[in-house]
Amino acid sequence: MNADKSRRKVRSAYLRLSAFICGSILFLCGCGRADSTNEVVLYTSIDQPYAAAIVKEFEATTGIEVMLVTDAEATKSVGLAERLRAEKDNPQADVFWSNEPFHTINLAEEGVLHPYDSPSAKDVPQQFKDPQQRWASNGLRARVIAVGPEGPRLNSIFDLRDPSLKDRIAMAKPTAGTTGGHVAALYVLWGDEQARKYFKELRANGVKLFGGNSVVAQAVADGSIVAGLTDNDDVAAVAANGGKIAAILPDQPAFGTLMVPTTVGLVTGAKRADAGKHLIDYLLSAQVEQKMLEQKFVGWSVRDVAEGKAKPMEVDFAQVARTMPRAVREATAILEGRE
Amino acid sequence: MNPRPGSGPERLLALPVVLLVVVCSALPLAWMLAQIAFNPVVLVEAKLDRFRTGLLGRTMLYNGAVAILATLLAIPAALVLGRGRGLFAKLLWLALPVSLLLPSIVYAYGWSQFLRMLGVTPVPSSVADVARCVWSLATWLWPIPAAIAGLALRRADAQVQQQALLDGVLWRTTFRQLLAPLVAGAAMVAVLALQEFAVYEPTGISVVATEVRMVFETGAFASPDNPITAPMGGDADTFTPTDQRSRAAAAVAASLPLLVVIAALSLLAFLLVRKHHASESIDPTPWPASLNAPPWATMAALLILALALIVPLAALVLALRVIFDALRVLDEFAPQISGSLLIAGATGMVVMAAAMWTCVRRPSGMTILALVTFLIGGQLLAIALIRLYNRRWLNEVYNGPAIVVMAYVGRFGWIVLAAAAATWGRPWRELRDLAAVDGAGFVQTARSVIWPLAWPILGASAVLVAILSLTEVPATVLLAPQRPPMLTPLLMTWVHMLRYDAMIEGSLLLVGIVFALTLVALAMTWLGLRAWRTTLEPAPVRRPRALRAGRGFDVVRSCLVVMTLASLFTLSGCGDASRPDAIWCEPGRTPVQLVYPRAIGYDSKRDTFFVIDRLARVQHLDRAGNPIHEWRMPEQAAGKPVGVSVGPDGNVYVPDTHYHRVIVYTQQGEEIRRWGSFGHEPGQFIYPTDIDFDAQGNVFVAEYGDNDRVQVFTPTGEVLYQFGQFGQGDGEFMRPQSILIDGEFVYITDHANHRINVFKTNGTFVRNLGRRGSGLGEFRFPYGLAKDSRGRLVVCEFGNNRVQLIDKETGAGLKTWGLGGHEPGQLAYPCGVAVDRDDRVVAVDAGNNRLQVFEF
Repeated sequence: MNADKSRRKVRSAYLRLSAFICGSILFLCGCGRADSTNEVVLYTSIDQPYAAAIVKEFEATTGIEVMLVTDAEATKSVGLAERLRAEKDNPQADVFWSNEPFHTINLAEEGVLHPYDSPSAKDVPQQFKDPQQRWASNGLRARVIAVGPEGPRLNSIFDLRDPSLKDRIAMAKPTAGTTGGHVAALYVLWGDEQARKYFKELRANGVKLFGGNSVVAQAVADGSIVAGLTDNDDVAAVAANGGKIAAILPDQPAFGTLMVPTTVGLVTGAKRADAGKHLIDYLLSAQVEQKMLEQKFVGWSVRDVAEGKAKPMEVDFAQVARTMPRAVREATAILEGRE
Repeated sequence: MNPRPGSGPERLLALPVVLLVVVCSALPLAWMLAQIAFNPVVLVEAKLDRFRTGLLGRTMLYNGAVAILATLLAIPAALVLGRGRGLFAKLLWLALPVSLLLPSIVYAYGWSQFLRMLGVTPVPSSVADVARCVWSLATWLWPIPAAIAGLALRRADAQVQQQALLDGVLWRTTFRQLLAPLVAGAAMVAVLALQEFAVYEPTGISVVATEVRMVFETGAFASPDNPITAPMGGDADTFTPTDQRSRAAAAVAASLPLLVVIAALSLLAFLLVRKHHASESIDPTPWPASLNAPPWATMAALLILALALIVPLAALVLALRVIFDALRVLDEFAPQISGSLLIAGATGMVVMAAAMWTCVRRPSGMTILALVTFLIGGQLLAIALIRLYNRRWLNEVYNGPAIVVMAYVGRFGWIVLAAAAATWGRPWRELRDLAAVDGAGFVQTARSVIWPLAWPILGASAVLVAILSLTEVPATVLLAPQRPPMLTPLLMTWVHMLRYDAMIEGSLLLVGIVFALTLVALAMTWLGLRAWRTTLEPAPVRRPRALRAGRGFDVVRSCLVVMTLASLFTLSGCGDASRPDAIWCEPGRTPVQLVYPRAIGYDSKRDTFFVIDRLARVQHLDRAGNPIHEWRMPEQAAGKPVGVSVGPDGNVYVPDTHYHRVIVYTQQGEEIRRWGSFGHEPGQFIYPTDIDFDAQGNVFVAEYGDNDRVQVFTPTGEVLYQFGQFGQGDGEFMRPQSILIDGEFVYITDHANHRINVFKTNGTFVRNLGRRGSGLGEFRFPYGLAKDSRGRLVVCEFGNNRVQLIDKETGAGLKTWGLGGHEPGQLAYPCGVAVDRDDRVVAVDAGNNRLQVFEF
């Protein structure tokens, strides 16, 4: 009798607990469920403040909510690319908007990105979009030399080897962000030997490796270094915050500087492909490019780069993308003094 | 009588909590082990070559500096917490944990703002930048050593300190008392700092934690020659990307040396806290004003508190270039704030449910398992969960709040489990027994008896977990949930910007929420402690006024201890501080009052006790501690007896220690006979201490005073033989204090040799048990000795302020009860112990002028 009673009580307790657990699970999983028409997931390595402002307009115009997933400076670009790779069989993102083209190209080659011929990309020059329509570009950033307002006038990245700058120059670690692409582009442009020699000379001149391009720009503004290789938008962001800093486009009379477009692609297996395409159309539009120019995130339009406002480095993006893993590994080892 | 672990359906009652811990802790841990077991190649990452040795060394150097600096900062506050008795000390206890509850990323950002205002902008990754990180972490974590050392100092012996003050060696004595707790605190700080990456990462400082994140997220190397972690793989122009599985395995392997260091430091902290807790004494007298914290310590503590708490937060506020409009900020961050609160709230609910269910049926070992998950750090836990749930068929878990809640439960679940485990302690057992007598089962007992009392404390611990979930950086940043969005990853994307209004506003918003929740947790803790005290206090214990005055303070202190460190202490030994089942007597000269009781004897036939105190009074108490009768020794000027025993004839045998004789009384206190005189000859005594009887009724009398020995007499008092002598060797004594005969063996507490001697009743030496120390199986000045119904020895230790259960064959310590202090469950100079027929242990709590009754 007592045993029956005890069993009943335990059963009753378990029923209540089960109800609680089921409710909790449904609640927690329900929170994770996205509406397929009114929501789209965007992975972007564009700096969050810029991306958020642009996306907000899209949401207001279309009523589609954008779940924005951004990354931190230390793993910029690479972190999200790796996440997309890891989720290839279980895609979570619908659209990838990168701040550079090289990881995008590699992702496309691996089948992570799906072809979509966006009408907004019709006026984008062929050199800034994938022939197979797996990605297209909008807005151009450039690698620049950041200097203080009273800093030296440097015209070339070779000037960073000047002994007068010893121990007062910096760049970001090539393992993340656009620095990796820049390093790889130099390997492609100069060949391995000259590239290695250049990075050894930088190392000999005491180049410091920071955790990101924005850190480089900030350090220049603080006066803790004299000059640094970084991106034009990082200089603009520091200047907008009152920092005393200027950007120099290096090697303009010679081989130019690396100019990198933002790239947009549809993720293969996207659960909300239709909304994703709407978002891609928007992100590739001239309107967004203009907004990025106003934000000073990008410095040039992909649509009028031929007009001679800046001399871009002439390298094949696909080749740079293929070279990047090796170049990054090798250059990082040299710059860290391990080779 | 309380519901015992039984068979049948009751056994399954622990299943929900077990399942929760398995899912949130055991599975990720098992995954980590599997990475090592099934991918032995990743062990290359754990090999300490030059690169990895440098990385580990750098990490230990930086975080060692954090630990040392935090500990140095903690010293003035520890003095105030330990010796201060004023308002400031109380406020300090209250303010102490606040910085700890803030996210490190916000805290460090506040310091960066402050330095920027001073015009100090260290070069990223430079020595100055490392110093900035070290300072930020030290000022974030300093409350840990401050609280540990402060608590230790409160428990320290005031009489010793007073004497040291008179001798002019107070600071040397204080240093000695604080050394172990400060080292323990430093070890805990180092463990937490070693897990930290958010403070180091923004400016590119490389430590193991940042490398682990890099390896997992980017495939960038922790070393250049590892085939797995070589950056993004591939040679020449061929691109062969490393997959997440390989990167995750490499990340686990890369962190192995650090995990070893963390394990060693955790063990060190555990042992030191445990040793310290067990060994410290406490003075029962009122706190002497001469020992109050010096003014400079108070000023220094105030300065450090202001530095640690006010400066970074004020710097955040002052750095804002826009007016902080809470409503606007709330609106701007609404999705992230509601997401963070939703997940933190869900975590709080889950752990609250686990805590409540633990009150129904306590699963064993789960708290330790959960604590291990905490110690491996948020990054590895997150990596394990990502790898476990990044599957198409588990998409709803991977792509939602569930995975984050699991991470937080895995990280902080041990706190609520430890809090809930307290409801299985001694005072609660009585309530459970009563409920069981009324026929209540496990569930009904919990629902009707335990939950109504325990919910505030369990709720406070759940709120604490929610707060920690809100501010957890490593796991949150790696998991970076899409739905709902959370605030911490957003802050992490901004933290590299030196001065960014959105970052500051988001940080201040988070700080405000944390403050509000902290107040809720404190209020609940206060409610809970009040309920516990009023309901679980076994008897109204009158305390000296000076001690009672500190009660309000104790509530505040207890709140903070529960909020921050109680669980650690519980795990490391403070769990012994269970409340007694009853407290008998109070200070005074009337019946049922005691003045420094010295000895206790138990009459097993009548189930009554005889107690002797410093008034040379023999009190006869019934099994409930009520007075039956009392009488005084004939003389007392030279000293009072330290032992009392009931003979097989029912008479009361008192070794009249300072009068060198044994006096035998009837139960009513009428003297029957006496024998012995001062001297070294057979039949004479120097200082007789205790008496026991063998199966034949022969009387064994222990004595000390350069004639340390045991003399054996016939029941009529004729000398038969003697054994033992003064010394430290086998069969020798330095003050044989208590004697116990069990069958053919004689057990003697060898007071100043800190051991128990075992002889045969014929005087043949058999063995020694134990050694000096405070661990299990070790003794400091063992005094009273008794045995329970299972033949286990029950030893009270004057020096360790505890009662210890000992295996009489091996000498292994089985359990301890009590720690130094004034509260119920704490002892001050315990002088004797008795065990009754129900295995109730009655400890003579001499310094607290009372007897405490408990069960092992």
